[in-house]
Amino acid sequence: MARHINISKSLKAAAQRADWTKVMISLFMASFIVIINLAEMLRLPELLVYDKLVFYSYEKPQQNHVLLLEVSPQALNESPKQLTGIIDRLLIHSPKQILMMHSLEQFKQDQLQQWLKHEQVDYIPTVYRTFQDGGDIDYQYKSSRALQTITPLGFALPVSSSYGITRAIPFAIFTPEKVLHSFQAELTQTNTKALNSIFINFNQGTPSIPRYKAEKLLKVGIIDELVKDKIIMIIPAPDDFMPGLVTPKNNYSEPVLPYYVQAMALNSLLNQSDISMLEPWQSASICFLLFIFYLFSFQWLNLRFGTLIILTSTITLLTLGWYLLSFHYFYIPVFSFTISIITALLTAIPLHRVTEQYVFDSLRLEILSQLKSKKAPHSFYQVDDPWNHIIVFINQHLFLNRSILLERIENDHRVKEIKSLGCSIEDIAEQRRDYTRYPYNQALQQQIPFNLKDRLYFKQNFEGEKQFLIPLKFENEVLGFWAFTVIPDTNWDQNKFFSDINVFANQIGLLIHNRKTFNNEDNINKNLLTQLLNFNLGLNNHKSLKSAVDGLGLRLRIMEGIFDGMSSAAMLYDLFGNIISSNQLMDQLARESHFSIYELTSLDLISQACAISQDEARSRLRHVAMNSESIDLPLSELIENRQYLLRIRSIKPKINTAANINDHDLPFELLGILFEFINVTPIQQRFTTDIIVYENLNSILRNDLSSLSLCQLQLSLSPDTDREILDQMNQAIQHCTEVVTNADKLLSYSSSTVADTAKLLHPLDVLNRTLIELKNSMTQAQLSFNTMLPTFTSLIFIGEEAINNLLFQSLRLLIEDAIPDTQINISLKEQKRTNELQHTGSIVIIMSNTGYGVPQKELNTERKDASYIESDSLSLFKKAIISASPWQVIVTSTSHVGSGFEVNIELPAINFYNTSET
Amino acid sequence: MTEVTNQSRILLIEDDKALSKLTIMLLNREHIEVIHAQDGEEALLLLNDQEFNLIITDLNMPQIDGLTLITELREKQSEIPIIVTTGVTNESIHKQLHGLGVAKIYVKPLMSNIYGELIEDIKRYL
Repeated sequence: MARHINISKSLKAAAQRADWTKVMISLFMASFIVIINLAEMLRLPELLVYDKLVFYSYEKPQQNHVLLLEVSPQALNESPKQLTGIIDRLLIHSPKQILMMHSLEQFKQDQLQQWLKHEQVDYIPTVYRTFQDGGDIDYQYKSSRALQTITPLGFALPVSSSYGITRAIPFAIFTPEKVLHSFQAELTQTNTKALNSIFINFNQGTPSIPRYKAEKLLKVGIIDELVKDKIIMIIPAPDDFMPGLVTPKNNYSEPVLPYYVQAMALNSLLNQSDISMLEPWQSASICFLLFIFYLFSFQWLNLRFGTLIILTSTITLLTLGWYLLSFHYFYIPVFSFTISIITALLTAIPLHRVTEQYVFDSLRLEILSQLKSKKAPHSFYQVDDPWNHIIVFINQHLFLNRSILLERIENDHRVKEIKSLGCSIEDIAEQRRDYTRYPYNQALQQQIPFNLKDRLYFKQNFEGEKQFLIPLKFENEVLGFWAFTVIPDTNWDQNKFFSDINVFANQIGLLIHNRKTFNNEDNINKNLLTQLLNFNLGLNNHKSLKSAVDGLGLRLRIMEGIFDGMSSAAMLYDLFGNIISSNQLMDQLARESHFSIYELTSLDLISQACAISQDEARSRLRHVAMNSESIDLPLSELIENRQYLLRIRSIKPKINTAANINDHDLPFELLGILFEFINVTPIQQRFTTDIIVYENLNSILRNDLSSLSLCQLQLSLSPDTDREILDQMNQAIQHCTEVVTNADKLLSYSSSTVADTAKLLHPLDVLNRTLIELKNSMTQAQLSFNTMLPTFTSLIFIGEEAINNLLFQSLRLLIEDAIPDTQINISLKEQKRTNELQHTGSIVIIMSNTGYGVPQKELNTERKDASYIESDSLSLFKKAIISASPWQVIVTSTSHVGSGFEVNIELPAINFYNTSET
Repeated sequence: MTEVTNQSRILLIEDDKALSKLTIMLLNREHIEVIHAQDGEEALLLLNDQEFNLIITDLNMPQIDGLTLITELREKQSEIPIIVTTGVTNESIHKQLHGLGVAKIYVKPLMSNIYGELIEDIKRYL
């Protein structure tokens, strides 16, 4: 667990190292977003998005406040009467304003004064943008000299066109001489300080601004609705030479008249439907916030989800932009916002990768270092050549005199030395080193080491030395050869030696194979070109991580194997009573037990299995958790006829730092609570047997002790009475000694491996266990037991399985034969029998039923062996008799058709008396 | 000591020969007539033929043990006083014996002073 703590610390440190880098990169990118917004570097793509949204925006019909009255240039030039007539005709219809937007240069002052005396009539000079030498922009407008003293209401300012598309008109133009205000701003009294220009709403319905010809006005007049309370713009009638403007709503093939754009701008302002936009600083602020928000959000997402979020956000922004533009005449900078989100993703992913890389590197190095320290001793890695250790190890274990390991040269039929001990390659007489020739080819054909007695392999031969050669293979591939010599002593076992050599040769073959594979991979990894072509340059860390993970996996499998291989059933709970892990024995125990172990919490399991209250169980668990101690609890009845001990102990991390040594264990530092179910049945049986023996022994000795007391009493009453008393005393003492000696011998014998199939058993216990086992069968057959059993009997020394099987099959025969609603009679008696040493009596079990029975002849038919396969109860009964016969068990059985069975089982008893005395 | 009449007879049921012999010697010294049975089966036969004032019995015996014998006697409505000398210390069996009207239970091994007490009890029932 200390390892786990170290890894956690490494990860934490790695994460801390990455923090400042992340903050700096984040701030840099946020600044970048703000700057490009303030500098309006995204204006072009933003306007393109704006154009598209305007083009597709909802066309909302608007109230018209303007009429364009087109007067032909010819009419204007002919006579002032023409224009006077137009104005007079218009004034009849009470227009809100009449704006004379054409040139008035040719008219005299008095004429102009006459027109402009009307309150509704104003003159709006048209300003033209001109380009001076050097590319400077200048503005000019034509006006009557007579009106130089008169300030016009406003000017028809040139439209703002960006990238060839007209979207707005400025509210004012600053020239060196004066500020020229737009007539739209003057008419609508718009605060021009707050805004620079008006973004014209081109979606004003079709057609939005009505146009009327002056000639028609003069000839036929005009309907009142077109003029009344409207602003009449008198403009020159368009001709083929008048340039048109491209707007977001129309393309180059359908240009719009400049005066028409002016009228639309005026109408937009009057309807308050001009398009509002964010100021650059506002846009920059929102972009900054969006960047920060998405930067944090993308930390939880990978690239795929991040892209999905960007797509979703972009679609949402476009929809929102369309809605706001169509219904609220407001444009949000969709493109800038989208760019901010994308930038956040492009920033978050590398930052995430930076942290991951730190963590990954720390983790990899930590795991590798730990695995390396665990896999093999440090000394193994500290040497350059591990073959030294291997060959020394081999020679020491096999008592070899000389050894040389030869490796096959790649793509050649020759061999070279890997390592030798006690010799060198120069000592080999054979010079060709060609493994297709003698002696290598001979060695390849043999299953055992090839004895080189005919032609010596090593040049010099020591007295009594034998030379051998064996191929080193892996999966039938010849990887090399191993030549060795041995000087056999008198105890040398050639077969054992060859067997050991074969085992070692296989292991060395595997090592050479691994070394070859490693070298090949290493060569590939070292070759830059190979790595480049395989796109493997950046994958070394992944390989090492995979190696580390494989190593961890192996160790995990080993740990699981150890956990499963525990001799006791074990289950690990967390501190909250939930199961973390269990081993195979536990699974088996859970299947066999009548408790639903895996469905119980640790508390319930203790309470139910140990038959203690919940409070006591809680107290026990608390003790284990708080004091980090283990407790043992006897389990009442986990599985019938099996005794278990429940050992509960806390599993805590290994403490290996000085700082932690003095710390008290806290419950939350525990890894879990381990429950071990230790099967103590064999131990308990052994102790039970001993207890039974001692009880039996005690019972016998009590009589002798009582005899001695009686002797003492009689001697005290009359010391010289009887010689017979003294003889009785001597006999009692002698008997006690012999009984104890016999008991001691018998106990030693019963616990020895010689008697591993036999046990000292109490016949009453054996019989009672069988009765319990058959309880369900009895109930199903509607039968009951009628037992006559003594309180105490001598012991029996017998194969437990044999006696269990004999009793079981005997009773099963009786049960299957019995008539329902009758009784099975069972009695157990002890009777004398004096034909065996230490067997001074016998235990007789008599079982009978009221059943159908079989002819005695059929019952008497003997079986010579137990190899038959019949599975009926009678056959199994006879088979059980044969199995019990080695233990001097005598079984007599009788049966008559219509009366059932009676089975007498006589078991040799043991009570420690010597036969000579009984 | 209590005076024992000539007609007083007790039945000693004990499978241990040495202990039986010594017990009989002790009781005879007290002028008590003792008839010995080796186990419960033999005792039942004697009880069918003869009259006894008291039974002293062991529990652990072959054939018919002491507990079975006492149970059978009580089933036959016999009210003969019974003293049990046994190595069995099991409390449930002791309770069972008291339930069957056993006068006293002596747990073996009996020390010499306890034998004095036993003789006094025997005389009390004769």
